[in-house]
Amino acid sequence: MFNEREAVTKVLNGDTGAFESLVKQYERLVYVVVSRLLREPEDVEDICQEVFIKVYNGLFRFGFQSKLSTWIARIAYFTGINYIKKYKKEVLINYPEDMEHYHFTDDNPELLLTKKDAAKYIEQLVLQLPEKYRIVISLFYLSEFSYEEICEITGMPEGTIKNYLFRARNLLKQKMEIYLKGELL
Amino acid sequence: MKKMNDEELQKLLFDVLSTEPAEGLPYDFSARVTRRVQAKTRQNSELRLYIIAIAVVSIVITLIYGLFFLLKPQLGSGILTITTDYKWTFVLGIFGFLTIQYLDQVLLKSTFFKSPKR
Repeated sequence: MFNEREAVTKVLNGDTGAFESLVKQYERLVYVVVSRLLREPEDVEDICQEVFIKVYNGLFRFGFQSKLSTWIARIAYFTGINYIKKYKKEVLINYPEDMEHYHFTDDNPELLLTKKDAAKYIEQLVLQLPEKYRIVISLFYLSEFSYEEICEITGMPEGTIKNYLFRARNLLKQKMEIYLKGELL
Repeated sequence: MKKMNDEELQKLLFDVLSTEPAEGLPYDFSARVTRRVQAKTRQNSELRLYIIAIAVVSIVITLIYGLFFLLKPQLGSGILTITTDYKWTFVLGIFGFLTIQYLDQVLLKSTFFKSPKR
């Protein structure tokens, strides 16, 4: 079993094998966070590499005040956000407070094709949500972080996280109801 | 076909949201990152070594000059004249050496370790 304390100590002592194990342990988490923030798959691997280099360089600052996964996810989140701010300014926009009126691009041919499969349809809907909703929903469901941990990772207040989760879930449910009416009735 | 009730819909949503994406990082991702980190560490230690070497050489040259000026002032001023006459040769030599090191570190190694696009 992976022992994070032992791994951190070994990496700090210059053991590159331990670092490789650490990367293997958390690469999935980093991938989920980064891929949910960036829409371009070709950028994802480079950003993931950058995240782990930051982890390596900053590991001496990690004082076990939180779980290692939370700390790494935080680095991944901010690396992704900074990348968007730096290179894809048009992506980070202010989303309407009224999420109930959020517009999904239903006319996308890819989406129309995947409507045959409910699961894929939901995945496509999730990918169309604003970044902050996508990341909160992924951290909560996929990476199974608690509200407190998501607060620590994203720096958002707990109330905002609960609100984002509630709105995103409702929105996805509504869209699914409409979709299933057409498919299953 | 039967209509999905609220509970079933919730479950479907939960299942899909909890399912990991099929795509992921390449299988050798961890090895690639480790190689990059090792290269960076080596680069930093080489840089440290160069700085130490330059500092040591500078101190030694200063000491030798100092000794010449103290013990044999004529020879000391002769060496100083030669150094002044050929100052641009020295400067260009140092500049050329640093440029080769830079090209080796930044261009060659970074290209070598750059991950191929999928």
